[in-house]
Amino acid sequence: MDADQLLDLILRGESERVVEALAPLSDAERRKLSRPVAQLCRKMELGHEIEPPADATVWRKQRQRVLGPPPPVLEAACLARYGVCPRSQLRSNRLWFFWNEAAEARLLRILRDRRPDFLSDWIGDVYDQASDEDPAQLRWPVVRALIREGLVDRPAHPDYVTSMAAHFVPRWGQVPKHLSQRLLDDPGLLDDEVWWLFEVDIGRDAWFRKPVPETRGGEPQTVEAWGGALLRLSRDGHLDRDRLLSKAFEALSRSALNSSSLTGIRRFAEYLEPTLDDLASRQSELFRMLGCGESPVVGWAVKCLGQLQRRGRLDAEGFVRALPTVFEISAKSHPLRALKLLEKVLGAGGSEVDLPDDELRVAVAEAAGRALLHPSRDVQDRAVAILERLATQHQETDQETSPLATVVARHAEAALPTLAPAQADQLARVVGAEAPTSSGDETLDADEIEQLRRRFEGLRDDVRRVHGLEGSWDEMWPHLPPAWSPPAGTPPRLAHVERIEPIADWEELVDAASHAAEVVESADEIERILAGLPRFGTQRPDGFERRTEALAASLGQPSGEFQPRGLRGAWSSVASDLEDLLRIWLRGQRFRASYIRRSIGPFPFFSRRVREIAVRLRAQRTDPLLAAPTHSGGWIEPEELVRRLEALGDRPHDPCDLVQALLRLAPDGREQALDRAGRLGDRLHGRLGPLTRFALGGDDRPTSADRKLRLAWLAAARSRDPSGSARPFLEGLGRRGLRGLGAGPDGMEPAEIRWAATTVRQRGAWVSSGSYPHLDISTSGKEQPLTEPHEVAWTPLHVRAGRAIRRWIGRALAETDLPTAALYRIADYTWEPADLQTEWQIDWLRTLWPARADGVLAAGARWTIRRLDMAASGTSPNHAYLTPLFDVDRPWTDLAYLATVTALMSRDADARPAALDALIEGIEDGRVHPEPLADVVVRFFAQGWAKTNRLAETLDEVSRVGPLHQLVVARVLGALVSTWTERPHGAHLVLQLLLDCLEALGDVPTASTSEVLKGFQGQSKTAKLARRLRKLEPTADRAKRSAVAQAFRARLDRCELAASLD
Amino acid sequence: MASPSVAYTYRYPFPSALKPASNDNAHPELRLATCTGADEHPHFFAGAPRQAHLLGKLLLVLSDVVRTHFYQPFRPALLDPVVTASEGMLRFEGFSSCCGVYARADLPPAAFDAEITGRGTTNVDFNDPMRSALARMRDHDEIRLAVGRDEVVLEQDGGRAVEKKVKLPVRWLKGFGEVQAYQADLEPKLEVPAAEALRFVRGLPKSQGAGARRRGYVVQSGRALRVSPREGRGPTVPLAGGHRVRVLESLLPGARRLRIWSDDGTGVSAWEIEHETARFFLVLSPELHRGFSGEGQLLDLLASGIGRDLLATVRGRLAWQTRIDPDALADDLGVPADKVHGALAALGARGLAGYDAADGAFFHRELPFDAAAVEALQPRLKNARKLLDEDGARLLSRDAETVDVEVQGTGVRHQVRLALSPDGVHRCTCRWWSRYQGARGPCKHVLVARLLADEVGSIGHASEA
Repeated sequence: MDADQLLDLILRGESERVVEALAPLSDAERRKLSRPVAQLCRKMELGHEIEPPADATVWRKQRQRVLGPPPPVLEAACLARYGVCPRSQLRSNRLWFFWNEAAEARLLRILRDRRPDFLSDWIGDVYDQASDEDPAQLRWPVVRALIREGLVDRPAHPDYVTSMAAHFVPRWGQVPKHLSQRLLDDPGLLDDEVWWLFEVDIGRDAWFRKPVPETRGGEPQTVEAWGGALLRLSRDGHLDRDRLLSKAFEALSRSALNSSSLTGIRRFAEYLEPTLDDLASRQSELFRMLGCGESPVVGWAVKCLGQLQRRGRLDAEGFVRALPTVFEISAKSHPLRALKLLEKVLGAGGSEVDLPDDELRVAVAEAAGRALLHPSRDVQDRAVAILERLATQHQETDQETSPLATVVARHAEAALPTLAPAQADQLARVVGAEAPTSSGDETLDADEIEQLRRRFEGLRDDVRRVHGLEGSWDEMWPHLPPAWSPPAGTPPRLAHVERIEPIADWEELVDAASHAAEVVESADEIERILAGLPRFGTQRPDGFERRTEALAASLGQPSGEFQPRGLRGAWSSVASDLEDLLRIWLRGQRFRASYIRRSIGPFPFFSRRVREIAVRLRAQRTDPLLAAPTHSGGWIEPEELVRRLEALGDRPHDPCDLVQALLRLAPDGREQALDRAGRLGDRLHGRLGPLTRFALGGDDRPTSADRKLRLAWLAAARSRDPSGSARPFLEGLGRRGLRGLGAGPDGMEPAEIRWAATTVRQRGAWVSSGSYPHLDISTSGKEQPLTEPHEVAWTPLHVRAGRAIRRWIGRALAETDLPTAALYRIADYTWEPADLQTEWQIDWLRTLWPARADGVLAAGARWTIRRLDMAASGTSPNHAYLTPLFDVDRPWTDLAYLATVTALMSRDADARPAALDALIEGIEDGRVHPEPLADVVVRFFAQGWAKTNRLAETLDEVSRVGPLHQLVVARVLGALVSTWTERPHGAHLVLQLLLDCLEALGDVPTASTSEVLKGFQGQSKTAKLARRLRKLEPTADRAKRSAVAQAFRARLDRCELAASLD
Repeated sequence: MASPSVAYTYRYPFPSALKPASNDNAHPELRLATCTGADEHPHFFAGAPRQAHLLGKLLLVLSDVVRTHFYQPFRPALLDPVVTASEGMLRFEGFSSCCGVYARADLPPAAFDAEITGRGTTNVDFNDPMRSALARMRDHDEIRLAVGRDEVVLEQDGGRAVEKKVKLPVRWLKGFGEVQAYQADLEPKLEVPAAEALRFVRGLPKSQGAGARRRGYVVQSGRALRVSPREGRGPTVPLAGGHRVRVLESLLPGARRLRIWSDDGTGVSAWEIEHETARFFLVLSPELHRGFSGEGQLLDLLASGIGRDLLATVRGRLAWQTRIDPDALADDLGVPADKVHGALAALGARGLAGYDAADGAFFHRELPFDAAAVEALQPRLKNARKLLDEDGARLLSRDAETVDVEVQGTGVRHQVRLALSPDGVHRCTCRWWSRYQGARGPCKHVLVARLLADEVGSIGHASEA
């Protein structure tokens, strides 16, 4: 046979004839055929097009050329490869098709005929190279047949056994002959292979299978897996039960297998029903199992040891020495049972420690000491109790410096800081140490309180009033100061905000733009670039072309990443507008409106701002941008705005730029800015002078001549008094001027926001239909239509139409509606638009109107509730909506609490820590107060879908910070418990945390909380905790006073700062 | 595309194992088989650990790190850790398969009842039965540890030799060098008792997910540690891929404290667990998907050639010291300290020196691989040299503080401004530089510029002469 003939047979898919043709060939003849066969196989592996013989019926249709060779051809190619190619070629066979029994029989014949001397090594190669994603193609029956025929040695590779295990266990839906019967058909397996099952990972399902449900009305079919088969063979006398038991114990104690396999073997060992003698003779293995770290195995070992203990056959010393490792598993039930067993070992009466020597007592202390570090409170409780018993004994018999005392003291020192107050007290008594206080620095003394009083009384009345400190010191101390909610616009905002360094020259602008093309760090960075473009964008110094060549070339190219973090290749409209702006700057290209992309909320406004700058660049205008923030978060120092307007002189302004600048005015230093604006007189362009003075708090008012600037006047009114009505100020615009103006929320009137936790039938987004948590958030003000067409098809006609519609709607709305109104609409979309899939764009939203972040927070709450039970997602950066809460001078509104609580209750691993941070910082600096927080938590839990365990878990983190945080948590939980009409799932977690906090503070539950707690009767954990809570007595409340002092300190700092800036 | 690798064969005279007590040995013995690239089987140590359970856990965690690919669910290459012995310390080091986690267990003489006698670095066979034995070691077990055997021949006669052929990824080898450069800049930022650390570690994600991948910051509030998405005001430590820290969980019970180290700006963190008689160090790369090998922190140094003339001298002074203070060595040699730092960094890149952040000093160890060849495989440096050879760069201008160079890129010419002052920041117009701003080392264009500047500088000197 020559190569062409063989290739022809292969391409015709004539597997049988390939086998027959190769059978008589010598090694030399096979070597000659090796190269063409290898080349053909390689072409198939790489998916290259193969020209089949014209009359080959197996290539039935032309489409086979597209889909690749048909299975018979692949099989024939494989067989030929196995028949002629050297070992190096066989190592990496990547020709995929389903090997059926007939094909395997042919492969066996090929190998039997060829009998290469490398067969054993080759099988080793195949197993070595198989990975989890690329399992070995060489199926187990073929290898087994080769072994039985004596052609290869039994492979020592674990994959040989795992593939055997997989081969014998039927797939779902198949109920073939019993596995035990099949094993008896090949008795050699019972001598070696089955014993290896205890040394490799074959998984739980291979050990025992659940019955297959019978879909046609019959009984469920039991499928015999390895566990069942070995049990049957053992019962029938084919396998030695004792050896099976030993192998199972050995496997369980060796800890070398994965969790799934260990679970299967543990079950198998259980079904072998070991007797007491069996267990007693294998105690050392049971002790090792205690440290295996797998909960099912540890649990079983504890159970077996318990049986031995009950019959008095437990090796107490071995058990005690092995015990510390049990506490490395985080589940609590088995460690708890192990400690109960230890207590029994120590003596059932509890009065006497029945241990033979001191050394063993030390071992008990070591074990109990390790248990102190277990996360479960119950395990810790029991460990403390054991240590207490040991210590009691010890005091009666030994000296303080004994090894036992040393061990107990060492463990106590390590564990005391992490134990709950009651446990810490108990343990501290045991070791004769002082229980740690909750914050470690509570040295509040009379002098300090006196100092606070003096600071309080030194404040001006108006400052105290604004910051909620009305009344005398004696009336206020020692209660928490009331919630901090100064009128919007009164607290200074720039003291704790970073100043934005403007771009210094054109080279820095190139660097900043290049970086933003790849990664946008923050909205501040975008604003820096926007501010730099008018200043340096018209400059063309020497080397400009060279310096910008790479940036210009990269713009417009796809970013190559799934989630573009930069402007280049971005998906959102405003990002592509920014990219276009850079192109205009660099190469003077025309602006390409991003009309085919959907843009939402205030993003069209941002786009209009970008376009205004594009027009400036083309017109070579170098006026400063009015809206460029001077401080992070979008704030503009008022005096700086006046300076910019002065620099603008009598040249025209850009409308969106002006509106944005007015909305960004900071409350700080307005009087000085007003003085400066007053000195300018009428030197500003048109009516900009009166407008600016009005925004800064001056007496100027609009007239009917200001109708063209009416939106700017509205923005100025909002900026002047964010929480008041603009109407009284704008009467002068007349009826025509006021018509349709500021109808949306935060337009003419400040937005009033109401929300309620509800349950809705989901309409479809993300999840299938059903009832889902929902937040019904509504705002005052007329709803406005979207400012952008939803979708425009990609045709020139539609493009033009879309552009025209967009311009018309945009212009119409731009004249009447502030972009602040649009903020409230971004939560209403079914799908999260591209505008909200990057952090910097969400961050940009908060810079729109820095004085009020409710729109952003409402959106955050809505988007987070939709993903309440979903993991974090890179395309839903909901944590970014919480950024406004980190502004230390921003008072917390109802929406701030709502957004925080929603994120705290979510599974989102990004949003939850962000909310935790915000809450911890808010409590620290005095912005978060327990009353409004408790109010929001109670309302959030009204529908019953909020999970108490998540609340307890996150508030536990909060309470660890210090006494003030504990006080807030205790108040919130107390308020929540007082609303309970029935016991919610996980109530004990809430009560446990409440108890910890109150104990640490020396406080007691409120009357309403106690009333609810009375209703919890019985022996459940909740009932026991309720009883403990009710029995609490107020103690020396140093921690509580320290908490209140911290709250006062924060408030007084704030007042003094405000007073110093006046 | 598969990453480049070099074929390597571990040849051990016998498999590492826990040998039961026999007539010769009154106690069971944990025998760790050793081998070097030169087919030698050094004998370093034999003695009894004072805390057998701790030793078992330290080695097991180290082995877990080496056998784990933290970023993708690949079956990791079965690589073995290396051990370095000197009088002052027995150090076991390893690198994860993803090259993003470096682990080191330091065992001082106090950890054993015998002196550490051997000197050198070698691979240690970590096989499954031996891992299983490590997991079973308990403090009350009277076990002896032997690193290598002095009667290798006898062992070979009685047992079987082990030969493991592996493909050592080049990036794995490079990472070993790169991580030393990071460690030198680390500073301790946070410190908590072991109990608090255990609570914190147990709260970290168990596997990678969106939450684990994102970079967070470990902050301390009161006594508690937590991961915050923001950098915050106090000392913080960046952390991405928090599940990588979970490997430390089993080491914390019984430990004294956890110290967390970090530097300013790179995002690398190091987690040090201190026990009474041992120390464990875990160094994490800045991002889950970034291995240390691609960070290029050494490239500038390698391209600059600082300290190259001192390599042989400094190498001669290493002498298996556990603690090499660069400043003291510089004083001793009478050369500037930066030159000695440069020389030690270059030696570190070649696997000839490690850095112990806790001691603030280098230590001598010679990786049992041909790491010098790896240095030549630094792709950025190699490409830079190629570009220079092909005249792909030209000097535009030079003054006292900066050098402007134009470098040919793909379809465009990149402008590089090289800062000559130590505090200066380089600049390049390429996308790599624009994206990472030097945080992942210099781009190849900056390296070309540096090489060219050096070249032109020497020509200038020659013409002046």
